[in-house]
Amino acid sequence: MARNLLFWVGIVLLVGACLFPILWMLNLSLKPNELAQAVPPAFFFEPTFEHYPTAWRSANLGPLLLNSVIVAVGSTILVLLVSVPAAYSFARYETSRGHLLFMILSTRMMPAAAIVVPYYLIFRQFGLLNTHMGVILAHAFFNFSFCTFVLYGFFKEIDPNIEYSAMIDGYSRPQIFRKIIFPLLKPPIAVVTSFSLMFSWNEFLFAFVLTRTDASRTVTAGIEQFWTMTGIQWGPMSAAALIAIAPMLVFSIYLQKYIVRGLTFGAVKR
Amino acid sequence: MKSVSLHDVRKSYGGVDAVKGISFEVAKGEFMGILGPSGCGKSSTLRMIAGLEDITSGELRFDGVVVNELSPKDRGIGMGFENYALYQPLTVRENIAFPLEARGMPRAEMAPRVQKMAKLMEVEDVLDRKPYELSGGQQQRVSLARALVRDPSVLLLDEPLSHMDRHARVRLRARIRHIHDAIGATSIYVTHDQEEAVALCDRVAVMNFGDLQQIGSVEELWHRPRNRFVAGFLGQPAMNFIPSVTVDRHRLRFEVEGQPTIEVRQALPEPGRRVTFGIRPEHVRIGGEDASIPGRVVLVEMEGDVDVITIDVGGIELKTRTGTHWAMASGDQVRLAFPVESRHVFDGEDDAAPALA
Amino acid sequence: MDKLQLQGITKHYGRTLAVDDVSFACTRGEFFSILGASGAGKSTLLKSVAGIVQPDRGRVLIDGHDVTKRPIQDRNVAMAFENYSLYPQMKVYENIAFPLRAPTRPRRLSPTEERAKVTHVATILGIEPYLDRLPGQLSGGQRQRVSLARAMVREPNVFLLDEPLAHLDAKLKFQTRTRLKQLAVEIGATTLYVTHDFREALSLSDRILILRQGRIEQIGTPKEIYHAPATDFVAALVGDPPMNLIDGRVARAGDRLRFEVEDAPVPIVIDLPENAAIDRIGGEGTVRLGCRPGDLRIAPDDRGAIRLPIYAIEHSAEASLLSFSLGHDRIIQAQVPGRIDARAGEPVPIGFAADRLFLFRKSFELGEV
Repeated sequence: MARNLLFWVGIVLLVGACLFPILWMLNLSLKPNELAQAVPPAFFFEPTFEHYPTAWRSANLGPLLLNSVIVAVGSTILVLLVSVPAAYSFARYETSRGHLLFMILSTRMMPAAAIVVPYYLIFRQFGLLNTHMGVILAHAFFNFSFCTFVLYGFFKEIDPNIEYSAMIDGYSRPQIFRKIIFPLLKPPIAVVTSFSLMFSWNEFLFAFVLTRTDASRTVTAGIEQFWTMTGIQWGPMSAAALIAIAPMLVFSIYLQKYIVRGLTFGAVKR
Repeated sequence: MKSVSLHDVRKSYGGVDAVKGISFEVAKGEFMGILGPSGCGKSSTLRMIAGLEDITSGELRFDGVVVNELSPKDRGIGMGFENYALYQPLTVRENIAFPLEARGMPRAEMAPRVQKMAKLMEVEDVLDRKPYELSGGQQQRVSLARALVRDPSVLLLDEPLSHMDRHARVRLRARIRHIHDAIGATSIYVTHDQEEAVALCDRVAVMNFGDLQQIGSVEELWHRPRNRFVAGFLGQPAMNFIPSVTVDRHRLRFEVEGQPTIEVRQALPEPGRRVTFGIRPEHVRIGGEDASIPGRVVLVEMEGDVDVITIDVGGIELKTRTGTHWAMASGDQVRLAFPVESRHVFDGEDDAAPALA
Repeated sequence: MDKLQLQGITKHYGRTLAVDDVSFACTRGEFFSILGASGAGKSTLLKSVAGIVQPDRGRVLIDGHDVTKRPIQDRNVAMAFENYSLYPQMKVYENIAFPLRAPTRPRRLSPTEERAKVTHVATILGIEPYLDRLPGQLSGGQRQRVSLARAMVREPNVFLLDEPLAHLDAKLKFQTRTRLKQLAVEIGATTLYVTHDFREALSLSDRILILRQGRIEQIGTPKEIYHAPATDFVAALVGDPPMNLIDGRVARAGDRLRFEVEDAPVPIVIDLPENAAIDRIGGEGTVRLGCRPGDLRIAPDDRGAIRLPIYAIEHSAEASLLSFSLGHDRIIQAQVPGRIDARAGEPVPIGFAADRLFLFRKSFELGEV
C-alpha cells in the first residue's frame, strides 16, 4: 500500500514538473500586463483574454503559422522520400552498415550553433536565404539520420523471408511492396512523421538565422518579436507561444496510438 | 539430503493462480518428476521449492520443517539449469568450488570435496579448463557438480537436457540417474518431455493448468491414468481416443460408422451416456483370432525398428505401434483387436474426464 | 524424367563453404528428405531450388529445364519457411489464399473455388477454426501449420518444406506429420523436405539424403539408411536410442575377426562374423563398432557375453534401458523389452548380436557426455 502511494506521489511530481512551464505560460497569457512580473507571483487575478487577439495581430501569426506548416510538411515529405528507401536498403542489402551508424552520430555530433554560420554562408550563395526551401532543407538534413535509423530498426524486424515467400507465391517486387510491406509501415511512418514534424515545428535557431522576412519565417522564430526594445511583452508572447504549440499538441494526441505502437515495435513478440 | 513436502502450495500472479494449491511429498532419496505442457505451473512449482519465488499460500517443508520464509541460499538447494549457468570466466575447478568459497570454507577443506565431485561427474580431466571449452554434456555435469558439492538438502533440475543433442541427451540422462543413485539424492526433475520423465523418475507428478492431475509411479500413470489428460499426455504416439456411448453395464458403442460395440471390464454408468474409449497404440493388435474391429490402413510410417500405422476405423484415425515385420500398405483392409486389459474408459469427452475403474 | 535435378550445387557465404558439389534428382511425386544437423547446408539447397540463393556453381533443373538463372516468381515452386514468414497484417484465410491470387496464376479462381481450396487444406491441417484470426493471435504451432497450408494450397512443380514441423509440440507433430504425408500423397506432389529429425525423415520419405557439412554422406531409402548406414555419422544420426558406437581395434584371430576395446574396465572382446564388412573399413586396425541398443541382449547363456555392472537403469512403460560404463567417458546402452528386474551396480551379461553389428571407419570424435 505504502509502496503504491509512493509510486503515485512520484508520478504526480514528475508530471507536475513536466507540465509546469506550460501551465505557467497559460497563467501568463491570461494575466493582465501589470501583474506579469509581480513578485511574489499573483495566483489569483481576473483572467483576461486580450493578449490573444493582440498577439495574433501584432505578430502577424496567421502567415507565420502557414509558413510553419509549409516548412514542417515540406521537410517531412522530403525526409520520408529519402529515409524510407535508404533504411530499406540498409536493412536488406546491408549497405554499409557501420557507416550508417557513423553517419547518424556525425550529424548529431555537431552542436547546431557551430554549423549555423556555414549554413548561412552556403545558403546565401545558393540564394536560399529567406525562402521556404532553405528552411526545409536545413530541417530535413537534421531529420534524415534519425528517421533513417528508426526505420532501419523497423525494417530489420521484418522477416526477409516474407518477401521471398511472396515472390515464391508469384508476386513482383512492386506488388509485394504495395501489398505486404507498405501496410506494415504505417506505425513506423507515423513515428517518423510526427518526430520530423515536431522537430521542424519547434526548431528555432536555423529558422531564425536563415529567414529575415515574415514571408518565410516560421512561427517559432516569429515569437522573438515580442522581445522588444522596450522590454518583453510577457502576456502576448505567452499567448502566441500557446497558439504556436497548439497544432502540435492536437496532432500528437491524434497520432498517439500509432506512435506508441511504432516505438514499441519489436519489444513485444508478434 | 532431505524429504520435501508441499501442503496446499499456491502461487498467484495478480489474482491469477499459476499453481492452484497442490500437495505432494518427495521421500528422501526419491527421484520425482514434475511433468506437464508449457504453462502448466511446473516451473513455478520448482522455483517456489528453490525459494526463487514467493509462495502465495500453503506450506513447504524440508524434513518436516517449514522453509517458506527461508531465502534460497539458506534452504540448501542444489540446482541444475537448462542453460548450465556456469561462471564463464572461472575454470571448472573454480566453478565447482564457488558455493564453498561463498560460504568461506578454508581452501584445504575445499580441495578434496571438489576432487570427489569431479570424480563422480567424470570431469577430473577438464578441471583447469574454462566452460566454453567443454561440450554441452560436460558443462551440464560441471553444473551438477557445483550444485551437489555442498551436500544440498535437495537437487532441483530444470529441464537440464533440453539444450543437448540427441546422442548426448540419452547418455547424460543415464549419468544423472547414476549420480542420483550414487549419492542417494532427493531429486526433483522438471520437464515437458514425457519420455525423459518416464525414463528417469521413480514417481511423476503430472500437472496441467496449474493443478496436479495425477501423481504416481510410471506404471501407475501408464496403466491406470486418472483422467483423459494424463492418458493422452504419456506415450508417443498418444493414446487413441474413440468417442463412445454406453450400451449397458459393461458394453459401449463406438460413435463411428458401423457403430461396433465392445465389452469392457470397467463398470459403466447408465446407458446412453457419452464416454471416451481409450487404447494405447502399443496395445492395438492387428489381426489374430479375436480381432473384430474392421479398419483400413491409411498410412505406414517407418520409425526405425518400429512402424507407426494409421488405421481408419469408421472415420476415426487410430495409430498403432508395431514391429516392422508387418507388410502393410495404404488401403489394406485389416481387423483390429483391443486386448481387454488395455481398454480404458473415461467418463466424458474432455481432458478432465475421469477414468472409470 | 526426373522432376527436379540438382547438379553440382556449390555455395559459399563469404569464405564459409555451405554446400559442396551436391547433386541429386527427384522423380515425379517423390517425397525426398534432406536430413542433417543445423548448419549442414540443408536450407541453402532448398533456397537454391526456390531461387532465393544463387549457387556459385551448379545447375537446378525442373522438368529438365535449367532454371538456375530464372527469377523466383517464374519457377512455380511452393515453400514453407521454418520461421513461418506469414504476412502479419493479413488474416489466416488471406494468408493461405494469397498465392492463389497472384497475378502469375494462369487463371483467377472464383471466390467459391478459392474458399473451397483454402478450407480443404485448412481442415486437413486442423487450422480451420482460426481462418479469421491474424497470425499474431496464433500460437507457434498454429502459425507453422498456416505456413504449411499456404504452401500446400496450390499445385506447384515442387514443394519445398523447411522444417515445417519443428515448432510443433510432440503430440501435434505426430498428427501433423501424418496429415502432411496424406496431403502430399493426395496431390501427388514432388516434395523436397528439410529436417534435422530422423523420425520425420524415416516416416515421411521415399528417399533420404544425409547432408554433413555441405557434403552428401548417404542417399537411400529409409530402410537402407536405417539398416545399412554408410558411415558412423549416419549411424549416430538415425535411431532412438542412438546407436552405440565403440572405438577399438580389429584383428584377425585364426580364421575369425576379433574386435577389442582398449583400456576398458573388463576385457571386451567381440567375435565378428565373416560378413562384417572389413573391406569397407580398410582392413585391420582402429575401427568403430556400431550396435543398436535394441540389438544388445542380456543373455546369461551367451558364450561371448561380457559381464559389466549396470551403470544406470531407466524404465519406459514398455521397455528398460540399461547403461554400462566403459570408462573414459564411454557409455553403451542396451534396450530390453518389458521391465527388467535388476539394480544399478549389479553385473549382468551382455551379448552382442553378431549379425546386427556394424563396422565403420571413425569419421568424427564422439561427443563427450
